[in-house]
Amino acid sequence: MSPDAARADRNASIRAAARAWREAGAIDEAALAAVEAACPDDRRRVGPVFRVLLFVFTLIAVSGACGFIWTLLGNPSDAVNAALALAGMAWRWGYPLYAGAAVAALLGSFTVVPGGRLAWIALPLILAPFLIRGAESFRLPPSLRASCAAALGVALAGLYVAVNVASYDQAWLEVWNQNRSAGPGSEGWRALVWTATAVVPVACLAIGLSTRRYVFLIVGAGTTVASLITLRFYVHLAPLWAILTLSGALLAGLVVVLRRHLDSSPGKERGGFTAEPLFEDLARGRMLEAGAAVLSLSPEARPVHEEPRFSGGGGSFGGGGSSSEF
Amino acid sequence: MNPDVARAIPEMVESGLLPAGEAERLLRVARGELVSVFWELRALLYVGVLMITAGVGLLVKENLDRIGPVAVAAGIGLAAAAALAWVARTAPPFSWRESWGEAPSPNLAFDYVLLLGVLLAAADLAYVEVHFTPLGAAWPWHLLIVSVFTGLAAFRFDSRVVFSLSLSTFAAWRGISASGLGGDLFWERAGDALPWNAIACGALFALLGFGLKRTGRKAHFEPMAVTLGWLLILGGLALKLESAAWAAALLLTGAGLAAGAYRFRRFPLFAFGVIAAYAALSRLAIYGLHEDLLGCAWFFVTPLLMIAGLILAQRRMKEPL
Repeated sequence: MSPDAARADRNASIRAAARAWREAGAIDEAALAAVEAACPDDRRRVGPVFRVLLFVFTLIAVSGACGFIWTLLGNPSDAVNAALALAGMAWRWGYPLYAGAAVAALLGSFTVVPGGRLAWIALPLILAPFLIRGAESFRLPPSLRASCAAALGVALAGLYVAVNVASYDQAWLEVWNQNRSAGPGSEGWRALVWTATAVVPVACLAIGLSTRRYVFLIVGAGTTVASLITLRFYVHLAPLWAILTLSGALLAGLVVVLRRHLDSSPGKERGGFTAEPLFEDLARGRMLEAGAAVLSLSPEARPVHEEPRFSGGGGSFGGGGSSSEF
Repeated sequence: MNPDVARAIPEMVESGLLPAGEAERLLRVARGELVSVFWELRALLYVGVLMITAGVGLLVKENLDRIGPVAVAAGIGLAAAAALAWVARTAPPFSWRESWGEAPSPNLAFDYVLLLGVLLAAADLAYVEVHFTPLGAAWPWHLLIVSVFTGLAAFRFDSRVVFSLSLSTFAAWRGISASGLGGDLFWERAGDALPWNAIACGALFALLGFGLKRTGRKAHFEPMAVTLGWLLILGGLALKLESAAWAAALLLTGAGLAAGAYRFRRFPLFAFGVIAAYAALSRLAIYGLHEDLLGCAWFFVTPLLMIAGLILAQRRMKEPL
């Protein structure tokens, strides 16, 4: 990223913060205008929708290029090429999506070589300190910091996939490796991955809570859920319906208690956390919630190729949501 | 955290741009010393509701013989009634405008207890229909009843999430799984009725959104209705993508949508239109190319042209797309 672009990027982040403050009523219109005048941004900024479009077409172009090279030369290192191309674009333009995809492609390239799982473990551990530092460094402009954070999130997720016991037992990372050894690994390794399946989410959550780093919080929460599902897969403590209902009720209860705990403190914050929104776009968040509901709660469609007719077991349990058939 | 903002705030206070009283809180946020978990808590509540409804569904499925259909129906109905009663007691008076404005709901659990109540009520109705068959041969109509019920609840309690459920349940009544259109597009061979149903449904939703906005009644529901409507229209056309005529129709519709959305700055719709038009164009081109190499070249060169076109389009706009 050129110095001019980096300066404009820094100014854009300050202007964006000021607009959020204005929307939250923290500053008035005159203060916003003064901030915008003091931090000029001479670049034409690309919004989130446009970024996604550019990313989609870049991915198609990279895939097409890799396919072209593969067809022409029989070169199998598609994932490495893609990783390099995406990393270069992330560094040049500072798009977090590209940075995350570059790390994913780099990890993907190790699935075809012997010892790939070890690379999935070692690479994130090696990269993480640099990415954490990059994500918070003043020397980098905001978009490159965000790219480091995105790369860190993907690397941590990759680390978890590599140490998850189900992934180890079912050789998820060795599927494309034709030289892989058959059968499960040693008991010692298995005990190690069992431990890691439990430890990695806890470690991520602990780091996230103690340092208030979003990436670790989000990865920690996601991997905790994944580890609980893994545990249920191996250990049948209770019927699935009981686990789901009780866990759901416990989770909801925990959230309500946590919210009250945070709200009851002076300034509605504890340990640097608050349940109040801070300069966030609530309308956009609500649209995303509604979109998520369509994706996850839409009922099964009735068949339309035949006329509606009665059948004893017809229909499905749901409508407006759940769709498990009786 | 944002070190640039953190460094700028003290300078803004010194130069009088920022009031000193506000600066301290803003500085803590910029330094990462104060972090909001507002959306994270909502996401966890959402997951909790999903787990409870899935668990209840499994409980009924696996223990039907032991519990008995009347007890099941009564149990789910009571739980739904309890949730909805709490919501009715907590909700503000009805208004055609957005009840909460831009502020968060006064109670974090409100939206999700409403969602749980609606889902349980819908499940109970479906269960009653399956086991007591009050609708007989017209059993698919229970989806329409659920759609109307959730729609009324969405309007009364001003919930975008429940409104989106109402629309997707209506689509399910017409045979379209709103969450499965992407899968249908690539993996399933659609019959003749499904694409037309999807297109008609989508047009209806888009008109509904237009009406809501035009009349100013629950105008904030409009983006959901219009977005889902256009997704269904484009998805319906894409269902028959193997036909050149349908691909051409998708190309024209997608291009038209992109042009209209560009004009009215409806950016998500612009993205849908561009992607749909590109998919249709690729379909038309790829069927004519019989060499793998040419196919790869198509998917290497044309995205670069699309990127160039998008950058040109964006530069003509005054604000970020």
